[in-house]
Amino acid sequence: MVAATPLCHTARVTGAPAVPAVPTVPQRPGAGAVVLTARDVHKSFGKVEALRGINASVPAGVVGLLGPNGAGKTTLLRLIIGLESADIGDVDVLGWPMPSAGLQVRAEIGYMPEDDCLFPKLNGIQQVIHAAQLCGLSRVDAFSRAHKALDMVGLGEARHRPASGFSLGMRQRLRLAMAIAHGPRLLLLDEPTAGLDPQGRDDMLGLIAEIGAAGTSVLLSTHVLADVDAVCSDVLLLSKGRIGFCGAMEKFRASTGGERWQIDVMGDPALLHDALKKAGLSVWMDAHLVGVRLDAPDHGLMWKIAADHGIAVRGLWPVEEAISDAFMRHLRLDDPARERTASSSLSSGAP
Amino acid sequence: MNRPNDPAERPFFAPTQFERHRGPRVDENRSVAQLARFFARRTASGFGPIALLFTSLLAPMALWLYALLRVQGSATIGAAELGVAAGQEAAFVVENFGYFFQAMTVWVLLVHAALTAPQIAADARAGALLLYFSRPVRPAGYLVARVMASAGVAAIGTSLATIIVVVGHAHVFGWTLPAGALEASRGAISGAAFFPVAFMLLFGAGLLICVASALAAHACSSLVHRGGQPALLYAGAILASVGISWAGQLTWGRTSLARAFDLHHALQAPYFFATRLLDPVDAPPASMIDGAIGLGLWAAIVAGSWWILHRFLSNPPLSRGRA
Amino acid sequence: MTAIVQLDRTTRRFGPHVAVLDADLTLGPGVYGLLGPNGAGKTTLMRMMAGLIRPTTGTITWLGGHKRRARELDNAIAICPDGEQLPPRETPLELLTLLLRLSGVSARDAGERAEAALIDLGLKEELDRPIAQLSRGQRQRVKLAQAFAIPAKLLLLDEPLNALDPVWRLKVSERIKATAGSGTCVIVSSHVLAEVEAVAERLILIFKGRIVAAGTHLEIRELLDERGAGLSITATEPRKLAAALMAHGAVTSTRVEDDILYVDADDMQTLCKALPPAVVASKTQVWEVRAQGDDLVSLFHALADEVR
Repeated sequence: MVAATPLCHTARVTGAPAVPAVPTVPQRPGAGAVVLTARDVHKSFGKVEALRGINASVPAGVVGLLGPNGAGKTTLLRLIIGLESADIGDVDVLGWPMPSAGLQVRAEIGYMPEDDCLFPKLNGIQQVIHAAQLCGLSRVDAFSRAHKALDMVGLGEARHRPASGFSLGMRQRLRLAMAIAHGPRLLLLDEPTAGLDPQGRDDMLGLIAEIGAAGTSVLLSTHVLADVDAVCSDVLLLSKGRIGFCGAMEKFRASTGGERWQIDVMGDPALLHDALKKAGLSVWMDAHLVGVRLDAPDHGLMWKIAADHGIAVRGLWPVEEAISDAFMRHLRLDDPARERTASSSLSSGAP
Repeated sequence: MNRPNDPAERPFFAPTQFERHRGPRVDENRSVAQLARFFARRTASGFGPIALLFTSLLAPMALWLYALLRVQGSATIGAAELGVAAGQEAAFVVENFGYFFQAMTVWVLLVHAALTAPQIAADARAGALLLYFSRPVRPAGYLVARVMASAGVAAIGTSLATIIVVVGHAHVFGWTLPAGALEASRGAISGAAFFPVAFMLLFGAGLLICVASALAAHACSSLVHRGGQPALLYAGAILASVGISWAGQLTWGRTSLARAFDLHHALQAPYFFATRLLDPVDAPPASMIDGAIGLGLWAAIVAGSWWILHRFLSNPPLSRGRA
Repeated sequence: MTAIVQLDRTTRRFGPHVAVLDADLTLGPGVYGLLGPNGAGKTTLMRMMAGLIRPTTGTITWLGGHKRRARELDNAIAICPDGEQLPPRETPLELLTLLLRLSGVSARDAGERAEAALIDLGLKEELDRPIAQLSRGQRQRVKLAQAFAIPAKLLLLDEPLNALDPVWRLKVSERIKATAGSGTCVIVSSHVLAEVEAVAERLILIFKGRIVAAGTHLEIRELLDERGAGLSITATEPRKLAAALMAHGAVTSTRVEDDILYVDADDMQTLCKALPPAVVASKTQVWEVRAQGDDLVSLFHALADEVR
């Protein structure tokens, strides 16, 4: 099922490029472009094995953390924050070993929980200032950064009202502001778009892209594949406590060879379909879209045919595997009979 | 045509570039103190808490009114006008201090029931614990900050009242008690040291009460989280112990061991032991065994509360509902 | 097509606040996606269609001409509401059995059907556990089970995929399509536009209480086109292409940003018709063409300006 849906095409959200950020805390040697390293990590809760031998090297950038319920996503996030420690194996976050370097790491990461968490009885701006101060900022720094963070997420005058009175969308933005106010190097987001309306989702994804472009790495844990499609450069997929996939978004989707295209026309698509077929190209119909196989030299031919027949072309794009199909495909690969040992990959390399 | 992702066209805010923080960071010890100050400000903010703190002055006012009643008709207030026989001054003062101290203990328990008991429960309900522990805050640091803040707020009231009471008595009886005044008490203190020692005892014991009952109130807060339940648990436990103690006293007599099991009484045990320095003859509790049990209960309250809180914080409820 | 539910100038007010204004809809079998920002009136509209609240003015007619929520309709309308409203101490099996019995199913059948519905949604292990102990995703599936357990003619689903993981999102989407295929009218309200489009054949757009558009997405697309035209084109030589398009006279403005050519015009048809000859004339390679604002978020923006 590869039909594109023009009405909901979300152009890939890219943030404006920013001045490359310089970290203030000295990085441990070897931290480089990797934000998270897991070596043979096992974690159980009683009889339930949440993580069964995770080996991964997660690169900087906006990384989507995917997986069915029970796959170990929440456990992994808690290991990164230091709320749990691995039974076996090592976890390094931003070069620091967890959980021993828990305090240093928590000062450098931001966490936006899925749950509706607030400090009781504070108004919006106080929430963010308190959150920033807890990460070690002085009162003066926390004050100015809190206001900037709230500006960025779009909470205006509402920041002076009690946070308990905020609507869902406002609370979500507030939690994001609390997570970014102290300027973390790694941002962990757990279902940031849950419950937001389409405009709110769009705003949130735009913010995430902007934050990613500013040099902060983002680990986006979500069930909504469309969000991952919109902002993530890399994907980490967990299934039943193991890694299903760890690598770049381009590699997550199956390669279709780059030769299959879809064309959206105004009026009857059969006209274009028949004309292309007559010209000897391989064509098919995908709902109302014309699918065609175009090698590099065929593009010119296709446009000429369209021009000759007076066809109005409103869309043209290469066919990509639907992200949901890619997801299901990678899940099925997680077969206990095939142990994935070294599945780490940086954006460039992977088989 | 509108491109909603174009930052320049977003409503509400100026397109701020997201920047990383380049300033200095506060070290851990200062951060615990900072957190304690934050908790203290939140505890003592609002009309209710401030009004409650002012009621700490009720005990000094009551003593003052009592003195005024005893000196009816006289223009000055002195030992003779108050009807205190020569040589009995120290005993009288110690007795007054005893009443004052009992009143202060009740006050501290009320303050903790009203202001302290809801705190950790409120954090647990609001999901704030997850916010704290996903930041560089150690559970022990959080706990120390909480106890420092709530004990500190109560201590403001007890200190103020203690100062007023001690200074008032010193003013009436003279800052240095003559040797004769101490005769009846046969204490080990010299006249010049009497009021300073008394002040330190009251002040120190007041602080201990504030800390011990704060710990107990926080422990109740960590056990139950809904609405007014922590305060009810706290007050209920104390009242239940009082009830059991009185029942025991009715059955077996007033000066029996039963008296020692009263939690409110137990909290005062260290002070009353210490006042033997000032007046060994008349210092309650009547027997060493009562006193020892009281001290033991006191230690149990403190240790038990600490243990409950430690268990709670090593596995705190971080999510408001299961994910 | 027999209308399963029909709304005629239906309005619902709550005091001075108008939640839904003059809704006119005729819905038959199939999947309808109900889309709109928060506070637009989606929940109120769904509740009216479920018969839970009555319209202030106007009428709602269900199958066979029922103007009120009659007993005969109990077994024909099912709703899966938004929000966490499940009783904590009951088990899923107890809850569903009770709900089915309230819908008029006999005691013997109710138990069997409840169990079947829950197992269908993967809750075999959770049949006898109190609902408070279930995860969010499992609770959502309990809500869905109670909606699917009745062989309804009208099925109203408010955020049905909320809290579900991607696997269950796909399974439930398939289930929705299958249910519609057997003659049910399914109305799905969701904020994740991609998922709604994957499942719905027709869309209903609601904004500030008014239904601003209804139809297949091709029909709605025509509405978009009426509001102005624009294309974004990724090409090897965008400026040459821009020049060629300007030469054809079809465009009002062009701009190139990050090697992408953005073109605006008065009329979509003219613009799109002019594109192939322009590409041929400029001899550039074109890698992607997308209609500008060809997404529902932009449509809402545009319609929002109009309604204001």
